[in-house]
Amino acid sequence: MRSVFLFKSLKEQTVRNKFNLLIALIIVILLFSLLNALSSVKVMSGIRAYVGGEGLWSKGQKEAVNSLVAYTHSHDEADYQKFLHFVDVPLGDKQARLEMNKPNPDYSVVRVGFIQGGNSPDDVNDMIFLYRNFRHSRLMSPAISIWAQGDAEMANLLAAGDRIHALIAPNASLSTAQNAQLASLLTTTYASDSRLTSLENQFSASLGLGSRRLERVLFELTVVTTGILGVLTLVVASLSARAIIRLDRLKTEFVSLASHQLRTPLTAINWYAESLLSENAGPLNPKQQQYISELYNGGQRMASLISDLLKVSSLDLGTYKPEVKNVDVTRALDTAIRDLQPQIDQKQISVKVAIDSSVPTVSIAEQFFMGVLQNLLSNSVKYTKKNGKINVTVRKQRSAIVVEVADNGVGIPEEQQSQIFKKLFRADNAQKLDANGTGLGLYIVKAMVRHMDGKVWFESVEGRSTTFYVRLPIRSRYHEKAIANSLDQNG
Amino acid sequence: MAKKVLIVEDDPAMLAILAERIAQEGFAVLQAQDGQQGLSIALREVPDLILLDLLMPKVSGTDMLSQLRKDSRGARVPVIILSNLNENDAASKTAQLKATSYIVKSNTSLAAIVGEVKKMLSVEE
Repeated sequence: MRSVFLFKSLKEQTVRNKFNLLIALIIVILLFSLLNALSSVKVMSGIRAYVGGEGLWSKGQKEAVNSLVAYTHSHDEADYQKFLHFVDVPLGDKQARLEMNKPNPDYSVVRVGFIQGGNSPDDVNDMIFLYRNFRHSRLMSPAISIWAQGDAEMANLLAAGDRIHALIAPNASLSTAQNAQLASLLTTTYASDSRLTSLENQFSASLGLGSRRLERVLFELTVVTTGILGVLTLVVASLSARAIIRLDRLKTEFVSLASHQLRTPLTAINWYAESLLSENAGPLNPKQQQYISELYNGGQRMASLISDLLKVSSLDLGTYKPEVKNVDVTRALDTAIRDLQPQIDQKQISVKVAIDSSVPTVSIAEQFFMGVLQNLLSNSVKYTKKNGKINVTVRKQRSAIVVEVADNGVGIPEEQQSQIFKKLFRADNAQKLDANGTGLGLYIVKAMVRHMDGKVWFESVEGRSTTFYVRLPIRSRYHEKAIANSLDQNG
Repeated sequence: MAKKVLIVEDDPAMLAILAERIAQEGFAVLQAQDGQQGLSIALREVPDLILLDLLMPKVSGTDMLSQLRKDSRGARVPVIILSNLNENDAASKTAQLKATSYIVKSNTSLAAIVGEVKKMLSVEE
């Protein structure tokens, strides 16, 4: 029940909140993984250090017993000093353990103790971490209890050593009674050694068991938490994806409907203005003719702006996916030029077309290709003065065609060339020459060329010339995809 | 006898001026303001050409056209779609609806529409 509420509440969140949640979950997963990895490394390193420390502890203890036994035979003080030296190893570890048992341990004391115990200074922190965090757990507590028993046994050994030293040191030779006492002390020492060996084995086994348990717990913890967080992340990601898809659809619908609603009254304005201008409703005086012309031109501007905005919106949203067709470049250019013929004739511009014979039929999104040609040619016509020249050339370049549209028009100011493909940008000289442009044409060209997997660039000298280059693949990847899809659909 | 052109358009202002302009060219103009009315006139009068809006009340242009195509009387009537919807998928929509052509109203002058009507009905300009 609760999870249903959680799901509903997640569903109702905004896309931004879902994304934030998704990012937060990913951060939590990353932090958890990092923490888990760090603590696992620390724990494992601590266990390894304790296993090594136990080896050193045992070695110290064994060497101490051997030195003490040797002392009982040699009566050489140097052997007793060796005993004391080797006993220092377990005593150092004991000092560390006792200090770590305190609520607020002095870690410098712990450090000195562990180093005295022969442990590497690099391992000390991990040993402290493991002891302080797991001393009451099933991992450590049995091993610690064995360790404490070992320390008690070491105290017995030390006491026996003291008594042996007290017996041997002041006397050059021992009486029979003293020899008997020494023999008894040696027996105690061997018994201690035997118990200590057993404790050492138990310590190693207990630590090994604990580490295996801990390994399993860490693994289970990792699997469970990562699983939970992973499922949560998947839920949030899928809700976000659905919301984005829905948002995209709504945006497309909105743009489509909004443009329809804008176009409808605009059509009425344009058609009635056109009727008035053609004097269907009676003759107009020059002033009326001028005013209605302005009205009509404004309407036309707005109509082309809406069309361009619709194209931009569809291109940006990726919902404009025209059909890929085999296109005859010569025919496409003829159509594009024919559409502009009235303007070309009006300005008496000479348009020359040269298509290299190697240029093949291209397999391309025809509407995009036509859109690019129409936009570039229309710009050339607009920004070329009366009696100007436009040269269009098409050549094959490996697996692509390159279309060049060159004019001797007003050019693009150098300082504004970097902005020419930006949405709504218009160069200063272009604005002066034609106030009706929308500033979307070249943005649309670039987007359409990009959708065709092509490239567009230009060279321009202000006041002299502009050449736009468009390189397009002869067979677009889009086409390959379309063929693959149709094959899939046809089984 | 004058050729019959049926205009199906829900916007009265657009319908009026379009009808007036086409009538001026000597065609017999029939008018409908929604798809339902348009379909009934089309089946009754069997016009030579239909200018059809898409977004309309009651029965949309799309539905009207699909019903018209199912009827033997309307199966072959040429239809020009006149719409202000996004023109990006005009070509596919035209083919899908079995229309003859697709015109975006706001981007097309009355003169151009009249020219298209004359061309379709093979009338010399």
